Order: sequence, then C-alpha cells, then structure tokens
Amino acid sequence: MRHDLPPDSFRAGLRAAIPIAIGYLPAAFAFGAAATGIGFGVAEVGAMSAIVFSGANQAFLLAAIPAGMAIPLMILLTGAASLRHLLYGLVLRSRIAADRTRRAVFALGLTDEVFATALAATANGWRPGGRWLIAVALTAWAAWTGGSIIGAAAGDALRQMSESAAAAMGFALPALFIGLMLGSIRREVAVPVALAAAIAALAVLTGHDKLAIPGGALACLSARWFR
Amino acid sequence: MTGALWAAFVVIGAVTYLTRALPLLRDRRPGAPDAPPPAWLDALGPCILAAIAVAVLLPEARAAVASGSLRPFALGALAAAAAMLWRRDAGLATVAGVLAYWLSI
Repeated sequence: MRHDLPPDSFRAGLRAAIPIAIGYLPAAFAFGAAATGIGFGVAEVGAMSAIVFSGANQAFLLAAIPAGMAIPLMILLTGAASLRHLLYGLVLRSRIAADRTRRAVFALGLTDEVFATALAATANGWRPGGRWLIAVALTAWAAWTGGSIIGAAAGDALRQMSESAAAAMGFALPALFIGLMLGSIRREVAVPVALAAAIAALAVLTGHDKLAIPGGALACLSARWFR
Repeated sequence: MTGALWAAFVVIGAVTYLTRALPLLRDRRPGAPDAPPPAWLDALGPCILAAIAVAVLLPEARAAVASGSLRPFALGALAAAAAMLWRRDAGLATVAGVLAYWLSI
C-alpha cells in the first residue's frame, strides 16, 4: 500500500541502513586490528577503508600484501572479484528514482548488503529516491571506515569487551540476509530463486565460494519457463 | 606502506567504483523507457539475493557446527525469520536474530 512506503528522506535511509552498520562493525573492528598487524597505521587503515570500501577485497589485500604479491596481480584479482557489482547496478537501475548525480554518489557504497537492502525496499513497487539511497550507502561506508579506524586504534575492541557480544554481532549479517531473502520471495520467481540458492550452495559446498553469486545469478535465465 | 601500494589502493578503489557505477549511470535504451523488464531481469535481483544469502549463511552454519555453537545459530536464524514474517522489517529481523543469538550463548 502506498501509504506504507518509506519517504525519500535521508532519515529513512539511515534507519534502513542500521542493520548493515550493526553487521559491519564487528567485521570492521577485526579488519582494523588485523591491518595494524601487517604494519598499517591507524590513519592508513582509515584511508584504505575509505578508498577501497570493499570488505572482501580488503581482506584479500591483508593476505596479498605480506605475501609479496605483485601489484598488477592484486589489481587484476580484486577487479575480477568486483565484477559481480555490475549485476547489482543492472538490477537496480530501472528500480530507483534518483538522478545521475545521486546515482553516482550512491554507487560509492553499493556493497552486497546495500544492494540487498535497496532491492528489498523495491519489493512492493516503491522506487527509492536519491536521498534514501545515499543515506543507506553513506551509513554503510561510515560504519565500515569508522569501525576499521576503531579496530586499528583499540584492537578488536568489541571482542575485548565481551566475547559473547562480539559473537552475537557477528550474526547480524546472516540475520539481515535471512530477513531480506524472506522479504523478496515472490511466487512468480520462486523456482529461479530456489535454483539460485541450490547453485550457490553447491558452489560453497564444493569450495568454489567465489562462484556462488555469479552462478546463482545465472538461475534467472530459467525464469522464462517458470512464470 | 609504499607509494606504489597506495597507488594500487586508489586504482582498486576506482575499479570497484566503476563496477558499481557504470550500469547505474548507463542511459536506458531509447524507445522503450517504461517497457516491462524481461522475465530474466525481473528474476535476476531475487536470484542474486538468494545466492548472496546462501553464500553468507552456509559458511556461518558450517562454522557453527564445527565449533559446537549450532544452538545460537539456529535460534538466531529462527528469531530473524519469525520477526521478518511477523513485521516484514529486515531491521527488526536483524535485531531479533542478534538478540536471540546472544541470549542463547
């Protein structure tokens, strides 16, 4: 119903991004703490998170730098890992109502979780506007960058305070995806979605985690036979 | 960290940004601005979402089994699912899942 749809406001976007921030913080603390372990200073950790803003790519760099990997290879491999984002833009471009400038700003923060949150918001026909989208993306960016800095400055602060709280907050992203997935299931795409989940599960169980998302995406091609 | 490494971070950040921005900034095809999306494109988003969810949840579930903490994982997942089905609010589902996980440790 139209009156239940969120307004295109920065505040509504901030609220929608809170689960992402809760999920990012423990991972960012851990990343920041680990980055200081390979010689990054606090400001350097913050700068790296702000510039790269990709948890998967940054975790890869933490392993690649001490291993002495050649820089062109680092760029190539992180670029390959980022190709999945092309699909996110393809899906969202006709579902959002922002102008080009705001789309360009929103794209700075189009992570897996931001994509999932934005897509889920469109499930009942709402087209998120620029203010909402930018608030979601910037909140995610600020949580990741700020959490990295705190982790670099104070170690894995949350885990030092409470092991159980850190473990519970580590469950935030799985819980968020349970919610977003349940919210996005529609009868007309149920079969392709089940197929996508099966392909992704097969990829993970056979140790090909990086193929889970592109492999699952291919299941959409079956949609024409199951509508 | 060396200057070359910082240059690499800038390039990696730029490439990541371009993969995020280019499809969003591409103009629509002229002639059919409001045409309904083809079936595959309509299904692409939910398929990606399901694949991401599996890619996040399955390793977590395996780690929970390996570390003997399946109970908090299962209760957290149930609480998140119940909250989502009850209020259709992914934020509430996240908070419910985290709280249930924490309380059951």
